[in-house]
Amino acid sequence: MIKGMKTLGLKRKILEVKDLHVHFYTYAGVVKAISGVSFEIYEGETFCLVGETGCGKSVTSRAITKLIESPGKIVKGQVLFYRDGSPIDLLKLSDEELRRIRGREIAYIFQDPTAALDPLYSVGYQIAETMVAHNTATWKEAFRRAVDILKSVLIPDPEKRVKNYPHELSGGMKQRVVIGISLSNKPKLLIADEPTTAVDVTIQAQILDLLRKLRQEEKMTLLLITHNMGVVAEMCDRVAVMYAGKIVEIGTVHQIFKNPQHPYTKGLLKAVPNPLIKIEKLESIPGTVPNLIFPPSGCRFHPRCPRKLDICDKKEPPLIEVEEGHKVACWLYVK
Amino acid sequence: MNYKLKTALSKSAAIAIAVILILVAVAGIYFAMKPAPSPTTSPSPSPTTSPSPSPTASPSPTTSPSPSPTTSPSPSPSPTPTVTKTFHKRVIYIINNDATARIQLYKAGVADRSVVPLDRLKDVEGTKLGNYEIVVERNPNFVTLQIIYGVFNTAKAPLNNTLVRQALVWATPYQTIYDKIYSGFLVPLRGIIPKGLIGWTDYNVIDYDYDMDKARELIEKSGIDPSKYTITIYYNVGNDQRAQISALLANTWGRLGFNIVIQPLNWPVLLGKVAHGEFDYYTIGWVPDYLDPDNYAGPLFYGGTRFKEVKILTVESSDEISNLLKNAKVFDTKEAYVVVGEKGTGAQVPELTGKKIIVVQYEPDWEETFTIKEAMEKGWGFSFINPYFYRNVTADALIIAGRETADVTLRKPIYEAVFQISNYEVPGLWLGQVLFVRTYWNWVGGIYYHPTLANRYDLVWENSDAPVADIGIKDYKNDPSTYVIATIGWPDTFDPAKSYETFGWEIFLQVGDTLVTYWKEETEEVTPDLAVAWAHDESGTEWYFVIRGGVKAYDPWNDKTYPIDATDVLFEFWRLARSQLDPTWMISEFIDVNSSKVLTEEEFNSLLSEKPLKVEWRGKTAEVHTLDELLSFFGYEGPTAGVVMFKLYKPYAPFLSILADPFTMVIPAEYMLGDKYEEVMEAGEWGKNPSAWAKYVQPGEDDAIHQLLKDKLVGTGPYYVKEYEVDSYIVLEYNPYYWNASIWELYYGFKP
Amino acid sequence: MAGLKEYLIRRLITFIPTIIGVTIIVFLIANVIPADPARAWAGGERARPEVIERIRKMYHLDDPWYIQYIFVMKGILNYFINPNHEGALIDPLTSRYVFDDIFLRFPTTLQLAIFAEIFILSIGIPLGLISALKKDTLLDTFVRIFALIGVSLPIFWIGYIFIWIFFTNLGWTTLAGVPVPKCYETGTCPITTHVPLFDAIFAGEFDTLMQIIKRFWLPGFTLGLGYAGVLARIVRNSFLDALNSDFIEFAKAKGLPKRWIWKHALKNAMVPIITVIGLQFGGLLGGAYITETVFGLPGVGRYAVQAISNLDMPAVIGTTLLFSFLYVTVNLIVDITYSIIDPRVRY
Repeated sequence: MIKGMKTLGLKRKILEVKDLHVHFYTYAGVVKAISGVSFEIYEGETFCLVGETGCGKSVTSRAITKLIESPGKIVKGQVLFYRDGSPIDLLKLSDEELRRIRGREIAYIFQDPTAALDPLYSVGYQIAETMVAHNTATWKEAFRRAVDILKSVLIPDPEKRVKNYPHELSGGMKQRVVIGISLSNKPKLLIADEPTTAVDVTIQAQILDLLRKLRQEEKMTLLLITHNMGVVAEMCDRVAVMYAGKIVEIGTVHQIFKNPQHPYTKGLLKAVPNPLIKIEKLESIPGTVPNLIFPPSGCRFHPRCPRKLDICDKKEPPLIEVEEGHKVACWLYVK
Repeated sequence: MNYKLKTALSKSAAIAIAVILILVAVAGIYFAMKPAPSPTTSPSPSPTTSPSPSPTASPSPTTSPSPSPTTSPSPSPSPTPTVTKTFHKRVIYIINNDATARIQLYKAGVADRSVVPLDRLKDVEGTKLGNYEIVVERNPNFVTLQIIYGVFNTAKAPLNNTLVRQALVWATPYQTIYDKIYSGFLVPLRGIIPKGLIGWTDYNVIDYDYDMDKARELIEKSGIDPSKYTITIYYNVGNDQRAQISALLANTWGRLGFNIVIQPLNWPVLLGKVAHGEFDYYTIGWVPDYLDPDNYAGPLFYGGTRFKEVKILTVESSDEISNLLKNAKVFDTKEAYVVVGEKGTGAQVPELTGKKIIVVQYEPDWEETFTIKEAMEKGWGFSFINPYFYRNVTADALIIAGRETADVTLRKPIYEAVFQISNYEVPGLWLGQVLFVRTYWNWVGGIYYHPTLANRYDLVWENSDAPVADIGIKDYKNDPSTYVIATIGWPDTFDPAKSYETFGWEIFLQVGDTLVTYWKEETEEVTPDLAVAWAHDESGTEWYFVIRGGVKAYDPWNDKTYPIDATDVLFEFWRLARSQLDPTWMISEFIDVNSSKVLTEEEFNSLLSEKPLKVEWRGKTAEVHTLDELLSFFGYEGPTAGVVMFKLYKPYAPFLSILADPFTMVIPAEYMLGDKYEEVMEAGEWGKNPSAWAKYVQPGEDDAIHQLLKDKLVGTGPYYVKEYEVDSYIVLEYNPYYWNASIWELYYGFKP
Repeated sequence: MAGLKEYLIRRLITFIPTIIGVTIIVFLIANVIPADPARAWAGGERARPEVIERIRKMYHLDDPWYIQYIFVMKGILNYFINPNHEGALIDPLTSRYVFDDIFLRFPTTLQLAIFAEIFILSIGIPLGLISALKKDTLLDTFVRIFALIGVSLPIFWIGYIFIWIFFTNLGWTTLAGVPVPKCYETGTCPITTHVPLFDAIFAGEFDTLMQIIKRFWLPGFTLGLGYAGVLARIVRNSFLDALNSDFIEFAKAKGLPKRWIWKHALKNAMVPIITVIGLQFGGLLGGAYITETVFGLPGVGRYAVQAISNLDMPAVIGTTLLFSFLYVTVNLIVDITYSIIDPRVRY
């Protein structure tokens, strides 16, 4: 994986999210989980979506292929998928068309590998069924290819392992299997929702290495969702920072790390301690994540922002470009 | 499955379900209005009043055959020239312990008769199928011999005080019990003997009724303080009527000041307690085993006093009494005075004129007589002593006396005196006597009433145009030649030696023959059945029965027949006594089977020539010297098959009526003994030495004969047991070898 | 399936102590009742003292409870071990071997249970599935109300209504006897299991089969209704639980067709459903007293209740033994099925 702007030179869009709104209709009220999220992902890059728990990043990732279940509902927006150059709005496709795209052209990895695998079926079966479901292989072939896939995700003794059940594998191995399942049909876009959060630190590194390697081999685009800035630094080409259902800053990883603009981004970066410097006190962003049923007026960060202006609680700031490829939504930067 | 299809399917499923439910509801209502479809035949109920109620269903009076000695009320349309009487080739009992389900079977015509609880009779009355309907016959002037009574523990305070008992008897709400609990089918009873048997009297008896004032007076007079006593009322779980009676009594007796507790008990638990005298009061019923007042006075009143001697004398004037008795109690009965006392002299009685005077003189044997305490310890309640643990020497003497004389002019006043004692002393609470009621489909004809015996179903017929219904058991249908009865329970066993309830006896009546029987509604005197003639000696302890010849028993289990002779008769009676099973006390108490024996006709003739015998029947008496004389006395001309002599311990007046009980039916010894037949018969010298049989037959249920008969009964009667399914149904089929099949040809033109 | 064998062996070993334990407990409870059954066994209030004595001796009623227990258990063992049932336990009231009485009635209960189970499965599972798929709609509410009604209505009441509709007015059922194949009488049955339903099928006796159906469908339906309601609820809930599992979300993300996703959900939902079905069937095999009484079926349920009323101790122990055997067996089968379906349960 190559960081930096060099890869952007060849850029062709593969996914474009435009003004996406997702609401959850609960007994407590309507939760506006994401309100007006827009970003683009370019072919071949690793795009990261960062933010605290509850900022809407997982919802965004699900919404891309309409994986939102009741009581959730996509109320507005477009998700343009550039397949062979021409865009199609995924949100307008029928269920069957979407089904064909999921797992084939767009694949997912979820956070908890134990929860992703059906405990009653062998891992080999679960790998094979992904292929058969998309007609990329017959059952016999699929089982054979499952062994190869296990090999490619570096699981030792794959001939034996392919018959194992999920509970017979460790967390790390399960996550590899999940990765193997997702990649079995050679998707164009892999959406990984916090793939390392549920595993040990040592396994974390292995998983990330694996993702990097596979991404390079398969020339695949990776949408990586995480709240861990270290992972971002290591893996991502471009980053979007989300807060309270909105994108507050978006740019290359260089730009974000070296030149963070939004107060929230700054706070996030400051909260990650530098192991080489002695610190007296851990910095944290004061306050808590806002209630999304009745979100704060204007800029949703204003209750916690150290640089709050008067206008911040009245009007929502637009997303403006501060340098090429680097946008931020903050009144501080609006001329 | 794609989403749209799924939505469509489930929506339509919802609508379909709703529509189906509505249709079912509409159909239900529609059919409720319509009369029932093509009639099926329904079995009629057997009188199921049992002395020992089965815990599964309330054994309290349901429907019983009607008592009509002279008139047979028959609301059934009499057969017209085109409609003929159809012989019952088959009898099927359907068992269903649920009253409502039985009623449905009955109303649908699957059953010709059904056991219906008293309070549900109005639900079935008038149901129609075609030209026929369900009939409920009531006759307030006819009572059955079934009684309902309560038992006081007379050995326990305060119930050991006669005044207290009388008070409780006055404090009983009779009318409520008759009207509400028994739906009007219970009528007053004032003593131990029911109306319909000699001994019942309304002369000189206290006519108890519901009178709280009188009750309170008596409590005061008794001198006890009711608040110091708790009376516990027991009843057996499952019997609603007794539960309700208990509740009523608790209320009224409580108002006298007693503390009352009601406790329901399981039947076996109750039995155990009452046998040992561990009770205060419980309600129970009784149905006679045979037609004699001694079957009430004996088990239900006798107090266990042993006597060295009891003598009955008639005297001309009351002056003679002081020469005969030490002490005397005088009973003024309708037709005679009965004076009872201990043998000796010096008794003083007022002058008694205008009526016959009967003296009962007794000598008690106190050494041989057990104490009440012993009886309670050993659990002898209801067996060696009456259920109330009540001992009244006078009454006991009267009871013993009544057994030993056959003279009705003596027995009647004696039993009336017993009745009066029971009325005054009230060791039991005489609640009532059950009124006659019966129900059946009126395509059934010929139903008659007998107080102790069920109907013989070959004497009952159906109209040939009676509707036909599917029963659901194999291919059987309820057609006019099949008599279907819906009833409850199950016969305890098919072995007569162990059967002591009405269901079993009803079946034995159909499949077996006894020595003598009561023909249809006859209650006064028995008729010959398997015995064609009988006679007895002077003392009345030796009875000779001439056995009918040409009788064959049919064994359906092996499709064989066996000829019957006197040896079979003696062997069966001997076996009954030997088995020591429930009903056999009636044999072993009175007959010394080991001293009884079989005689050939020649031996009998030569015996007669030396010792003529006495015979009484149909109002005539005679002394006979030859077998032919005896036979012609009875008007019999056919073949004979030997003679049985029964030796009685003591003369017993009701002996013949016991021999009419179905449990004494004759079973071929060859069937019972199988391969061992020759060996056993030789050992007992073919009936000359019955005690030798003891080696081959054991008492109790382990005995091989009992094990055989309990499932596979064989008899000589009009029907045989064809098949049955335990707790489900019993099928009886007509016996093609029945010795009296000629009556079928006579009545119905039917030839087997 | 390596762990499966050990699992089974372990379960089978605990089988016998469980059954013995149950019988001991029942026996002790029965002995606590301060009642003397001998008199009732001897025939009632008019029983002779000699007869009562004989019975007391024969059944060891005067001996301490463990002697009685050993006597009863030996008698039961003898029934099964000895070819002619020598020395087997005899019931004091019917004079037959206790297990002869029980096995006479068991086929009826079995047939009733089978018919009830057919209705339970065919009503409960579809309704549960529909209810789950159409969660929170009117249909779902309706199915839940139906379940509640089915469980709450007393069986005898439903039974009476149905008898009135289907027997008295429509004649679609019979209320008497238990139909048996004709080949029982002629002795020509190809296979004899002593269960009329099976034997009639093996012998190809179609009309007998119709008779059996006509007799059993209504009591089966009446009995099954309540259980079906319960099953529908369980199916609904476990299916919903399974559908909401994370791996279902992943399965959707994998792009699996709807039906395949249901297959996953169903298999996962199966475990609690099969457990409930198994336990229900085990309960049904114990007989249904009220249904048997109302419909006049001579089954084990009625027999057991009557035995208790009569304080017929040998019969009570015999039926308890049968029930515990059946129940433990059904549980075992459920557990085995469980472990076949769910690979995690093979410790």
